[in-house]
Amino acid sequence: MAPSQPSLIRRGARRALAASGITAAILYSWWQAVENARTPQSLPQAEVGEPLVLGRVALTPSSLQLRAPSPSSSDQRPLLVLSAKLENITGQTQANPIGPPQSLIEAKAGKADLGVPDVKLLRDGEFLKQLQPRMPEEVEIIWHAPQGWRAGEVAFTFFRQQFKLKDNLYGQASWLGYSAAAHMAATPEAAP
Amino acid sequence: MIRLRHVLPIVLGACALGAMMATTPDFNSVFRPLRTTAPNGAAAHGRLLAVRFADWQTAQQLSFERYGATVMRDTQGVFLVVEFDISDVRESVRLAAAWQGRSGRRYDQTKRVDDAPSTVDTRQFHPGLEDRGRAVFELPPDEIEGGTLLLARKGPNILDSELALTPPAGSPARHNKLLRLEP
Repeated sequence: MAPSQPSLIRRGARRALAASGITAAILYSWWQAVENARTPQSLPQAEVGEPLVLGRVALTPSSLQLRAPSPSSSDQRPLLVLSAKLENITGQTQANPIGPPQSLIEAKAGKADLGVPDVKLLRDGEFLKQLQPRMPEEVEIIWHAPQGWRAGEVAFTFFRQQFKLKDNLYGQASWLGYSAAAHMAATPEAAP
Repeated sequence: MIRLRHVLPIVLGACALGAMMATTPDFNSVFRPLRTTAPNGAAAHGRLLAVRFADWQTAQQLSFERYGATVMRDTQGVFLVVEFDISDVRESVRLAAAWQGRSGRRYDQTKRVDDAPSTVDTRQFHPGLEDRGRAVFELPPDEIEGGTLLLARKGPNILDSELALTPPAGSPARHNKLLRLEP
């Protein structure tokens, strides 16, 4: 006895279902391409005096200066000093608010990466170890300029830390991951 | 009817899984420290020690001796200096202190006075010795009244004691323009 064939309607319905899936996939990938084209690829430009929310802290850059190193310092390269206001916007004390483990600010002079900065309090020149909630601090973020660098434009990239209510390992609330949030280009003024 | 018999267990399983996911307590609420709160004047007893709130005062500036030099510190807010009596120590322990302000925000002991005399970051408490500890916080003035002193063993504190000490009502009676921290 020959096996019974599915009815024409049932075969048509299966083919229509498969075709609709393929059509949906094509439309979705086409819309993704449209969305990518619509989203600007460049990061927003940070402005002096405008606060940047970087996760645990809000940072407001105010000026960039090129300073001579202290005569007593063993490193005689000039200093690039970004003055800024830092505010802890969480509900608890934050240690190392700018980093490590990863610095929230990356600075490049030409192609040279300036590395991890020192962060000092403006009022007494002590290193900033903690930032207390509701207590904004004026700070100086200090890099050593590369040897032989001729003062020019410095490019900054600011990174934002992500808060995750439940992380993938323990399901606990954590600050994880860093993503670029804004760019800023500035030419240092000579220190008075 | 046959189809329903196949689909029903899957639907019920999905519902049970969803209910479990929705009602499971999260990590932070399960693995938090076990808090013991003591009213003002009473001692809070934890697994390793007992602590009683002793004294508090505020200061605009602090000074102390470190490595033979005088260190001065000022603040954007106010320094809150809290002292507490420690007894019934069961094993040698180092402590970490925090102040939970009226707003619920948590202020750790400030690192701007690291190595100041008698502060908890420099001290270890031992069995058989009654002792006094000191913690210094840097905070906005309106976080003092209605706040709570929190003490716990230094380091990760999961499912271990956290002692919450209630200060006297109101604000500290003494406010210093400059307070010198003595041993």
